[in-house]
Amino acid sequence: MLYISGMTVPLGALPLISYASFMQEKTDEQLMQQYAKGNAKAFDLLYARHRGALYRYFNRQVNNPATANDLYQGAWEKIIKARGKYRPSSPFTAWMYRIAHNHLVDHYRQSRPADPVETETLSDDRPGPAQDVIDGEQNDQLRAGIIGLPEEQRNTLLLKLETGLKMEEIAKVTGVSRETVKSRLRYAVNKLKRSLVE
Amino acid sequence: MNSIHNNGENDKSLNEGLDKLSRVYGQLEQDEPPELLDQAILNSAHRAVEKKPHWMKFGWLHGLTTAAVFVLAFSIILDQRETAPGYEDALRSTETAVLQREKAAKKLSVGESKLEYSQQQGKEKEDELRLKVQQNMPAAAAPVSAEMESTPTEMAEQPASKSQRSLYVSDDASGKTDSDSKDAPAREQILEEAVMDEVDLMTAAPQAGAISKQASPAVATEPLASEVKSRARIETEAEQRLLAIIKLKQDGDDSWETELESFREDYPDYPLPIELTD
Repeated sequence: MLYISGMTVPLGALPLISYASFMQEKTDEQLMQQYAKGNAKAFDLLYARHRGALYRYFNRQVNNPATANDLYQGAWEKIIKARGKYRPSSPFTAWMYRIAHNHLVDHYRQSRPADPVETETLSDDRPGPAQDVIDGEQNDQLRAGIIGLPEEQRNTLLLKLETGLKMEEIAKVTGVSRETVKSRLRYAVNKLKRSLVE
Repeated sequence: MNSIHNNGENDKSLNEGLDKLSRVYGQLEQDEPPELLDQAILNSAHRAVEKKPHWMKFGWLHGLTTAAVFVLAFSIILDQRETAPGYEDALRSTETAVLQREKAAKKLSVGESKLEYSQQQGKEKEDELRLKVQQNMPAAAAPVSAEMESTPTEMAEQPASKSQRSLYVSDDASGKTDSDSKDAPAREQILEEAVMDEVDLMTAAPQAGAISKQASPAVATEPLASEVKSRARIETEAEQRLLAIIKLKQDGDDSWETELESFREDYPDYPLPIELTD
């Protein structure tokens, strides 16, 4: 028996622990490559790293747990299917969120096929639902403010806040220019600032 | 210059706003996916990379192989069913051949028994004749006759002359009461029929060859029977000639002496009756 970081560990478990720590040190790109080669354990680690962020990305986009669950599961299914197409030259997070973003866009198109894609000009002047939400707590105001943002702004802002991607990467994920991303973020931040001050 | 300066200011204010927002956002409740959903996704991911057995990769080939085996087995069964009638005919012919063979064997055995019976009849008649001759012969001649009976083979081994043969033939032609002369054609006919049946069976079914080999020993007894028959004929002939000579002598015909000489030439060791020794 060994005493490691306040835990008693049997000697037989040492190879497992050393293997797990070895895998933990691997980057997302390496893990995805290993999973594509058939290592299911690599996917377990990859999933554990990204499950929360991806779930929140969907949940705060649609503000509906059931829909969020469907979108979340569907996005992972697409990632699993596309494992052979992954190239380690691009960051895994950007690749994964591009799939998630496309999945979300498909969902929007299916639920509202007649509506044209909103433009920034239109969305700038449109009042969000956050303005109607009068809540004493800052978190609720922020949640309401995010929900009240136009789709593109909300999407861009959540990609920035949840994943920490750079603007260039967000631009690749969403398929727009870096300036567009910056513009969307600026509008979103200003709106949320206003809602938080109010 | 103003635009660049403005862009720099805008970026700075954006970054400040994002930092502040990130801090507030981080304080929000950290939503997590349900455990069941986690498990479903992980299971799906594991299933996707599970290594399937080699034969499962070629499932269509496995099915095709199974179907081919079934078709092959079915065609073989059909083919066997088509060839079966010929085989049944062959079996039927073999069975018929065996039955015919059994019938022929039975016929042969009947023929043999008939032959034995006829030989027995002939022997009885011969004994009667011999007794008749012995009654007219002196008592001393009896042991010689007995000796002659005891060694029939030696007698049979003696070559028959032309006269004997002609006498024998003339006896048969005149229809005298000779049992052998009656039995021989019947026996030969039976044997011929048996041999013909045998030949037919050999041509009809080759499998019956073994049985024909079993039946052939019965045919092999023929030389022995003919030997006995010829020996009996010789004895009867000698007796008849002697009787004829005695009759000539009793009738007062002088030719009996020449006949006696001729008889002695033919049968030098044959004992003469007392009527002729006087």
